[in-house]
Amino acid sequence: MPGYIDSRQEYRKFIGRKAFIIAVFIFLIFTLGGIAVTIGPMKFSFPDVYKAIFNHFFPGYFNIPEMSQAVIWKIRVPRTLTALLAGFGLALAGTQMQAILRNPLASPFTLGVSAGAGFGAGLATLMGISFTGGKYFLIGNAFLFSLIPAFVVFFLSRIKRMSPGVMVLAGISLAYIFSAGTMLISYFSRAEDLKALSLWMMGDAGKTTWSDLGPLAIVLILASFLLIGKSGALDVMNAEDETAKSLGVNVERTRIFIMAVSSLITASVICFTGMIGFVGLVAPHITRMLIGANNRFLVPASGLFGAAFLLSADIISMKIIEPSVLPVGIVTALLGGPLFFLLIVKRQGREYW
Amino acid sequence: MVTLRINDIEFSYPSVSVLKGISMEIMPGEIVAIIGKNGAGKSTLIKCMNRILEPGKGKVFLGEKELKRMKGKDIAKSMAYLSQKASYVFPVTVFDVVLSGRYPHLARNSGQRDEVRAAEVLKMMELENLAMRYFNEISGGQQQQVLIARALAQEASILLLDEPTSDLDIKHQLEVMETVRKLVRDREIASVITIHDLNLASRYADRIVMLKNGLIFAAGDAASVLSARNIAEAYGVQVSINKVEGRPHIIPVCPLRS
Repeated sequence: MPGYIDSRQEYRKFIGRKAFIIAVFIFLIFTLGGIAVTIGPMKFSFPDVYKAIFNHFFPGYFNIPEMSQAVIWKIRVPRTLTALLAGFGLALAGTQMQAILRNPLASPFTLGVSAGAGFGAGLATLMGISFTGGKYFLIGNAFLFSLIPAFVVFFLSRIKRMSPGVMVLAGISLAYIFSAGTMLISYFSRAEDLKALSLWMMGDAGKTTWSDLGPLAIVLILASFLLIGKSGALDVMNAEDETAKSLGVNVERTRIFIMAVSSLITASVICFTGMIGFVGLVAPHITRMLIGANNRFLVPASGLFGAAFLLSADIISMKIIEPSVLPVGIVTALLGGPLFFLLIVKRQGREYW
Repeated sequence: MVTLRINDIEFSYPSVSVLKGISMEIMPGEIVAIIGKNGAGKSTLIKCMNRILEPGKGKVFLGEKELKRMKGKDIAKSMAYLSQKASYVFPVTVFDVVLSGRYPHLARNSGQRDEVRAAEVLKMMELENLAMRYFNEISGGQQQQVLIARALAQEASILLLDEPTSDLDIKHQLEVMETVRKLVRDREIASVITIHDLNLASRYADRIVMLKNGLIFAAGDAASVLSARNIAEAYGVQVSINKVEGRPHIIPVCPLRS
């Protein structure tokens, strides 16, 4: 039966191309990762980087000076990993938010997550108020407050059935409320505290150490598995709600579940890095252009692309005014924006969203 | 093959009551057309049939089971629904659309067997050359055919179609109806179709249910339901009726003053 084998083989080829693109992304991440670690006041070669990392697990295999070893493993690698994890998480959350809200404008920040984090950070920095202490005085507070919008939307949707459009509006309203709150406390604050807060808000991959990366990585790995497991339901929800329901998807429950997981991812990322915008909005779109909207592939690919994208931005932020370093949050939008416009102008025919 | 039984269902939106007590039965191997003017409750009724909407009162039975107590995926294994305005926000291929029909049968992600199934359906429907095209880029008539293919991949024994012909030219209208008739005849599938075109209903339906103000106004074969008097009552339109191939052929004349 040549007929039916044909369309399936075509589809297999189509899938094969997606797998190839994902492989390219992974290669890109290892390459960029190596390059990123070489940058800084102390110069290393690309092979040195991977030798030092290898040495950490098998000490003494390569001959690397102890100082270099320490700089690479304790300072440079955590920064690189932070950029990778943050990019991965934000892009993953963005893909999910766009899918469940059926809205190309959705991003990890749509539901007011970042505004919540900003307010939490503001309370800690400006007013000295935090629900967490010690090392996590600011981070913990930002994390807790960034989850509030998700809870509010969650409870509202329990009481009243909410369409995706209303959920977006509720999120935007919460963002305004939190921003106003942040402005209010800023108005009564000292200039130096304000500077500290706005620096935090700009988003930076260089604030983390190995001990922060553990929890972040655990959240991201668990969340990724949960989300990738939902990709079949997400594919069905690409159609309008009635169709999705008729195919057996519990649309409301899936929407709430994914919203909760995405908010958790976003909160975990930005409490360590500050607000890194744009990646979560645009990485899913660019990946969709390259790989299509099939979530089984889009979800991991978009995460990987986001990781590569944010790491590239971080490399530029370290290089552009060397030896000073720009906050990466500035670079993502400043460079990503024009890149995105270029793609919009160059793309032909097909509507990608 | 299962029978769908609807027992005195009522449905209201917050400010309007749409269905006011409707009972009917859908048997395997028949095409039932639901007609009535805009707002009569056609789409609401079809959505209550597979729990997209839950009726406020009354019960729906799929075979022996009450719909309310069934899992969404189990309902989807028996009933497929084609919405009035099918749209995919993000571009997907026709193959992916058809493959999504496998969702109720999957524990996790779709596998090789599901792809084979999707490919078989595409071949059977002679849609293979569309497989790698994007759903949003094919014509409305092709889209309807693809959605029917999705329903077949779903292996549903009841096909609920909400105005499948509304946006189509006359050729595609006929093609869609022919496809449905063929499936119903060949596979003992049942089909419920809401439709505005009375002549298509007359020609293809085994049974016609005419709604008026949320109630069944008339039900039966085309000749008995599509009388000038019924149409005047339900639609407020004066018509003249001829017979074509033994079935009523309706020519609208003018709207009646209410």
